[in-house]
Amino acid sequence: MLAATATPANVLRRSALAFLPLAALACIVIYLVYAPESSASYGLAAALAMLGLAAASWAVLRRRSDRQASERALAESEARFRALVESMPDAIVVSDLDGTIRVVNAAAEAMFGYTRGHLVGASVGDLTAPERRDIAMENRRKLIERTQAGGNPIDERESTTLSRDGRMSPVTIRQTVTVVDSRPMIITTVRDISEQRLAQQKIQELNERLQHDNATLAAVNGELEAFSYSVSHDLRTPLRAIDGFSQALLEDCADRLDDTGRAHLGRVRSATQRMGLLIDDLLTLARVTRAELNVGDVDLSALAGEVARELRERDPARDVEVSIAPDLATRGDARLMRVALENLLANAWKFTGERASAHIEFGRGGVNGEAVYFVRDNGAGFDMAYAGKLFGAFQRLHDANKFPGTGIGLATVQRIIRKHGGRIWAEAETGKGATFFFTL
Amino acid sequence: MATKSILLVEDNPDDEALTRRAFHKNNIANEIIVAHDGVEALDYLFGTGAYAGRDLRDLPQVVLLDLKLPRIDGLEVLRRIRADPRTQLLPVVVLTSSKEEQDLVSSYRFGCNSYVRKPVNFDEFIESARQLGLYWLLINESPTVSEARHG
Repeated sequence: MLAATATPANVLRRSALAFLPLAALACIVIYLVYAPESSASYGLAAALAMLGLAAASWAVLRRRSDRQASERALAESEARFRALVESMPDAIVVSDLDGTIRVVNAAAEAMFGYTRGHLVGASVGDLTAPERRDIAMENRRKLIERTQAGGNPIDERESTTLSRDGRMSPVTIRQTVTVVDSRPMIITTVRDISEQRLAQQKIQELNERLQHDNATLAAVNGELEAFSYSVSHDLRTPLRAIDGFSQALLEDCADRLDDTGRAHLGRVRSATQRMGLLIDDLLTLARVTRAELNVGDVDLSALAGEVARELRERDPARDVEVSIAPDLATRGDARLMRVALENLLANAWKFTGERASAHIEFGRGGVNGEAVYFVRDNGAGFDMAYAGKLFGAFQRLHDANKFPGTGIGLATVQRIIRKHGGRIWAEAETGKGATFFFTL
Repeated sequence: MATKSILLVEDNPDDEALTRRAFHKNNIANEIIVAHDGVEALDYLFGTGAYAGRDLRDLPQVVLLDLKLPRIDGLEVLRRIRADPRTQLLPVVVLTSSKEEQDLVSSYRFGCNSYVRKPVNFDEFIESARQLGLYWLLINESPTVSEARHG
């Protein structure tokens, strides 16, 4: 495939090789003609002839070894070229301008499922998907015309191949018009992009699914919001009527009600009010769930102080010692952290209700370099066997008569802590108080 | 003072009865005019529809406005009250079931004077009514309509 080149040095050497035998022949002729007349000339001519012969044989030998060397170099070069082509991961097809395949590599055999013997001599059109065949041949014609007109000899595009088993694959092809062994040919490099296409398709599918999920999530959030709004407005109204008219009954029909009747109405009213609290707590839980984190600097000590003051104002008869560690500053959503501290401190307040001297402590410790906040009380505590139920909505570990509550508070706290990327857990012992730990 | 009325915008008859009862319990004797939706409320205030020809100088002392109302909702009623020079200084107390942040913020943004949540517990409701009556009917001084027009 590689033609020997004609450099000036090569030309000179060839001329010399042709000249040396001629010089030797001339010496012999001179000897035959002039030898009898001069012994001196004889000797000179003989020496010249010998020299010529030697030079001639040297030249012949040299020429042969030169040819062998250049043949060897050519063979090596061809082998290198062949190895290079064979090692390409892309299929390579070298074809005549009319599309007849002349050379292929191993990757082409693998891609199209034919042996080299089948491929060489066949037409490139046979390797193209039927519906792409006309376009492909037209593109080849255009490329050839363009190259002959001195334009860009390279054409790159996507196409579809047809392999022996009928499989069609998306590929990118790169075609170059070049001169091989002084014949214009087209070298085509074919790269299978099936996997790339599959990956793209997968990404697109994932994207679509993500968009769909996002839309669903937005819709669910919207519904939750509408639901909360409706609950907030509509569910409390009938409760107010039940409570209000029960009270009206107690007042307006007092003379027709005995103690049992009044007790029944008292139950109706307290159940109604409890339902009102449940609705409020559920709305808080829902609000916490859909709230977006508004992260800023939060002084947890100050928040806890405010909450403790409110608890004291609401229940001034209680004697509770609340100690709050100073300067517990962190990053978080101040509004949500207040809700969390309200719930934790109100719980501590509630469950120390039967203690003569109640202690509540809010502080921060460190475990393995991580800040751990805690709210500790010396109240009723709970059995750790039920600790798993602590943070579930509507889960209660205590008698509602002794410690009233809706069972939504700790679920709300957990949701807030989780929203901050933190964890919450508790340690307690029945009758000896409880400690709630959380990280942020 | 007792001649001035209260405009209660409330679609729920139970709440209407309970509100009347709560005011009555607190010896608030002002006439309570009830509008059952936003349209009725605006008709009353601007003398349109069923209230065509009403003397518009006779404005209520305070409007108690529910938010969730048929036809025209409470926020829109509030917006139109504030948009009209005849009523833009009229005291409006939003009296509703909800304590949703969006309701609170919107109500204040639209210019309500107070936001009171109707409690479930009727005893608390009576207390709310007492404080409302005390403040808006006795303590608070409202500008007159002519001041509203020229001021």
